[in-house]
Amino acid sequence: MAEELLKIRGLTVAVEGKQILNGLDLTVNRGEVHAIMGPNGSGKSTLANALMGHPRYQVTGGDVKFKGEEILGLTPDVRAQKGMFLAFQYPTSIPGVTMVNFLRQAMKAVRQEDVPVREFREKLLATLKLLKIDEDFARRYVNEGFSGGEKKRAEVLQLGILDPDLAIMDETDSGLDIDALRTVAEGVNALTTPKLGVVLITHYQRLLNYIKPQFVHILYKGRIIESGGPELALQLEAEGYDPVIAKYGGTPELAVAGEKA
Amino acid sequence: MTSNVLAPGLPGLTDGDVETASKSSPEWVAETRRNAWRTYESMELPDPGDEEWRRTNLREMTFPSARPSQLSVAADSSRNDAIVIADLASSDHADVVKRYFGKTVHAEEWKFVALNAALWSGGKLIHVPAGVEADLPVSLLASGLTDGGAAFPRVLVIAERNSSVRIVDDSSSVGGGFVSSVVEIIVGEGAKVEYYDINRWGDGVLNFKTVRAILGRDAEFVGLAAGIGSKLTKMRFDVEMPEPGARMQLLGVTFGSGKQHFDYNTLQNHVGHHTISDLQFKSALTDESSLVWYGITRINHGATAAEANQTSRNLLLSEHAKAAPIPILEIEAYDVAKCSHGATAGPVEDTELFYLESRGIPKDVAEHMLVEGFFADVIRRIPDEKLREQVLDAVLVKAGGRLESITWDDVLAG
Repeated sequence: MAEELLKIRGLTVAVEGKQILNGLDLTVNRGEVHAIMGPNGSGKSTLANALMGHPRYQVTGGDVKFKGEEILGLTPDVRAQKGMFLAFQYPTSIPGVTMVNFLRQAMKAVRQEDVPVREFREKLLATLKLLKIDEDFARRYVNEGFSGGEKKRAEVLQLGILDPDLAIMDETDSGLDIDALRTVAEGVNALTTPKLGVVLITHYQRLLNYIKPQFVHILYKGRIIESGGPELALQLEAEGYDPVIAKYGGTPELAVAGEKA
Repeated sequence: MTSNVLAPGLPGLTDGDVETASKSSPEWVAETRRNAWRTYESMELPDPGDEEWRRTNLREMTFPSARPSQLSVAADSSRNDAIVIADLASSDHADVVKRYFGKTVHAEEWKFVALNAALWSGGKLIHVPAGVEADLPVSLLASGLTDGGAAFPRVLVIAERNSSVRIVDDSSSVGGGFVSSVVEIIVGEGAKVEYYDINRWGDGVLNFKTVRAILGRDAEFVGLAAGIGSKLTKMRFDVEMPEPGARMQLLGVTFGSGKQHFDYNTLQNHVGHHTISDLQFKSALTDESSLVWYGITRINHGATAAEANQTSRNLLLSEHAKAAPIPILEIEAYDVAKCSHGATAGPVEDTELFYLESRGIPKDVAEHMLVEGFFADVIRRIPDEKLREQVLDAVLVKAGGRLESITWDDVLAG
């Protein structure tokens, strides 16, 4: 039996007093790729941010175990040190902090020990090459002036360098043209190891042409309403979200008009 | 001693001190000192109704009794043979000093400038002849202010046509005291001057400083105010651009802690056409420290095609820290190329902090990184790398030092 990595039970999360997640269950084992799909406003980004411990996302119930350990009481840095990683949908820029310094600090922090320059260099150069990123990238300020595609690549670069056990990818495909999408997806595939569990959050099926999930879940109104294999994503692509939402008893219009979360 | 209620002056100083200071001065200097002392005595402290003084009310302050300290200003000049670095009172350079002394910053401007003109000591002349480009910085190190003493540093910089020079004006002391400094900078046609003020006065010092640069045609000026020390700093930093084609940058980096108060008044005065100015002032404030930045950009009638920007960003690292950034635009010209300003004050960005924390970096280290980055983004405008590091080191002492940092070149080489 595969080793259990992440186990979410009955998770409820509020943002500014408004309940967004309404009892979410999900189990991810090492080596598995789970796609979480859902219309806007279904709670996809809330799930990602709450798992990483963003202070604005208030957990109001349920529990989350990572490698068997309850993590909801832990600060984001400790979660990262334990092997969790979030690739942001909208990575923030940090003027004045160079990528090279940021990556080195992060690598040291996650490993909780010094990283020899040689090892850092080799790891960074190899990952830059894998993601077809120019070396000069390292001299730039974190995400400052990056194009949409560069930002997403920088997130995957960090995934490669920090070598986590669980990668939560929040709409890593959004805003990418097809070439950039392919590069990013190839990067993720190359970085996927048997020890890594992936939670792939996406609105569109197209990413799943490049990164193949074993499991597909549909998130709607803060709950997973349907789970299946890759065929579920294909069905969504063909029919849209409406049939499955109707099956669940929801109002399709609401799903479309739902606010972003 | 006078007993003007509004103009009590600094207790402990008398006209006897002017005579003492005059002993080693040529007669013309002694004369300016005596005149300045009379001006000092006759002037009132600034009116808090005046916008520039509203947030630092000197009339409510108690000035401790102070005796003049023997200020010593070490000028590191050995490697710049072509540049004259001399005692301001030296008779060898009397002609040029006489011509420029007190002409850019006038004794009548305000009381403590007059006091400086009366009692300055350790004054320095930096004279760069036409066409001379100093490749190494001139470093002035002011010391000798005793705890409870009074010091009156004075610097006159004359950069002649097509010359260039870089000056670091670094002041430090321990304890309290009173300081009034005046720096006059004349930048000739096509010349370039960089002037870096590093304020590391002792934590009890009341520090008043006026720096004014006047730029010739196509001249260039970079000024930096690094606020680290003192209990109170009131600094006026003005740049005048009467001629066409001049360009200037004013940079500020201040790290306040305890009950420190920093009050900066800046002026970007565009008179000539096609003049360009940019101001970037940043502060990080902890504890109960406070900062005022009152910055005027004036684009006078005739300063056509001028470009100006002023930005003040202030990081409040404690809920009791305060910043009042006040940008003022006065535009008289019809045809301005570009004019922009912005001012902010607030805590570290949550999203930036979370981003770093989500990468395993503990909150305190993440905050420190953000503060370093915040300052580094201004300091990168200093052309000289060594100076950049020196300034960043000096400012970040207040944050408990700098984080270990590495450049990509280091990584590639190491």
